Amino acid sequence: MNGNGQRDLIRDAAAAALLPRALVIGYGNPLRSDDGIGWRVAQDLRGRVDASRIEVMECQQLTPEMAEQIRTAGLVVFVDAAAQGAPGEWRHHRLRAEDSGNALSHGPTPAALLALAADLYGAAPEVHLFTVSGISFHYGESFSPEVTQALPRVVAEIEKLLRASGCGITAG
Amino acid sequence: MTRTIIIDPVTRLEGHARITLQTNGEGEVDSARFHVTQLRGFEKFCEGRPYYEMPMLMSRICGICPVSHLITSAKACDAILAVRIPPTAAKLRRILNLAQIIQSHALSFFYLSSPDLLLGMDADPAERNLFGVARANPELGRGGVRLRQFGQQVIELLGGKRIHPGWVIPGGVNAPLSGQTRDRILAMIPEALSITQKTLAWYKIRFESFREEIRTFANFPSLFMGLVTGTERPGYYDGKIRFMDATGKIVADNLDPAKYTEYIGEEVEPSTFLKSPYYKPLGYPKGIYRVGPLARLNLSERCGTPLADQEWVEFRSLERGAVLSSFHYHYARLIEILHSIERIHALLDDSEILGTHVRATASINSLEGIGASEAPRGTLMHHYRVNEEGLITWANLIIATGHNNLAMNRGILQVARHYVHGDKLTDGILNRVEAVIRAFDPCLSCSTHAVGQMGIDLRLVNPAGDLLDRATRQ
Repeated sequence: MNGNGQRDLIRDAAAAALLPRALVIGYGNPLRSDDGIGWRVAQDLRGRVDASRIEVMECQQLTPEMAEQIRTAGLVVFVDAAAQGAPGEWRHHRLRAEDSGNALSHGPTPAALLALAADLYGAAPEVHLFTVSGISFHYGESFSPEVTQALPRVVAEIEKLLRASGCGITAG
Repeated sequence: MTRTIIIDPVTRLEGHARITLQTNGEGEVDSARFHVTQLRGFEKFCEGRPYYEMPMLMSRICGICPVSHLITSAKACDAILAVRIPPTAAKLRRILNLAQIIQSHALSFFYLSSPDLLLGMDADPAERNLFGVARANPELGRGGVRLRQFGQQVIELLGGKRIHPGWVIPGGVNAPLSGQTRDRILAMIPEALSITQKTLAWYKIRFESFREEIRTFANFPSLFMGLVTGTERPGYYDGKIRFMDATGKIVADNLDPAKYTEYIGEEVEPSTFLKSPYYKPLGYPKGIYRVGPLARLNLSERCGTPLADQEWVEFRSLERGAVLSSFHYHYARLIEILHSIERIHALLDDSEILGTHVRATASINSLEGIGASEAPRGTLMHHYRVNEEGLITWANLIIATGHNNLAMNRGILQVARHYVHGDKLTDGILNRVEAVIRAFDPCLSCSTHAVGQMGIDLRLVNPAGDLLDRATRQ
């Protein structure tokens, strides 16, 4: 069984035990330089959290199926790159569900995904979005110096949030 | 006065396109054109790459059906190696291909088309989307999410990831199936079957509300083409090519997919990047044919699994010959999901499925290789030529959406002639013109070798080419 399969089992077990569970979704294109920052934050967090309580996933884009994963989470954290803002600037937003109609089929926004989870499953988790403003979105697998500098600060901030929520942090 | 109506962009499809309708002096539609405005170019930029890179490279054509390209490309490479892959590897590839069909059909039916089917073609566009479905019928929405997830999970469990798995390689697959993974997939099957059966029961009542659309959505005589195996069942992974006419008569059978150039011609039009394949004996454009779920269920004598066979009998009783209305692509998709789940179950129960010999190795034994399989949208063909070093010198791809190009154009014309009169374009008209294309579930990124964001641009022009009206949707 691969890592994702194991995470599914862990998620099911945690849900069955009615433990508070967090879901961290880092998304973007890791082949487009700074656009991959969400992906990298997720990877850095994976080794530092209690996997039985916190599911960490990386993906190119959000999809409607993630509504099902949001269903069993008490806390959801999205991490994405932003094209606006000063390079390396990171922001933390609290999100509410928001209907964004046809945008769904080609990649919903976090708020749209929450709306779908609410409509389908009655899910109402606490949701946060962290964004890091990039400067380079060209082909490449490395980050600009500004985004590189922001990386540990964003990871630390999410860890702080997860710890405060009662979800397990094993290191850091 | 004559007018041209342009729909740009066309929504809830994969890719970029626009539609042009030309009306005459009486306000009746004279001609319709589906313009695919993106170019991918995979056939050209793969030249010079080693053949063994092709499965992974070609799977990047699409994020929805990468598995179909992966498998078909690997089959073309098998032909270059001139190997017969181990039986277990073939069965594992079959499971992966069926999982691809399930997740893609679920996307098409639940995410893209169910808003029209549940809420109606004239519903407020602000509501006619997956959110509207989730509010109006959450069970249907949950079922769609779960079914797509099922297909993706099977792909992930076998191939390591949901999108662009690299598990299928020339000569077979790169790792056998574990008993634990098999059991995990088997455990998900009852729920997937239950959702599909409930959805079919709902749809068979629901589609009665769409009599007019059934009558006018690309409902015309044409040929149908697809892979058939054992002379009676759809050949999703392999088989021989069969052509059938509108009466249900087989016009060509047992055709070798590797000899496709003998019976399929390819035409290009200056107005679109999507080429137009046709059945050579009838010429262009008379050799129009359709592929995909509707074609596959028309071409076969059964599906080959118990529950799907029962549904197939009911489906084929819709008409005396072939089922002609492209509206029934939706119905056919649901039956194919049912069949695919049953077939995956049967393959997982096969005694060979946990076999560990899953790859045949060889060096280059042929300088040409052709692979064919049934992708969710229809027959997919990859054709490569290599030099002695195994570098690609030439490639040709015929994608399901391309096979359906002539039929989609004709379908748009039929719908436009039925619904467009005078100079007023209502949202319901706009949506029906889009929906006839949506029934085919075209994948434009697949078929033109641009990043897929599909919108619609409907333009009304006069015979002199002057733009008289334009309706767009982003």
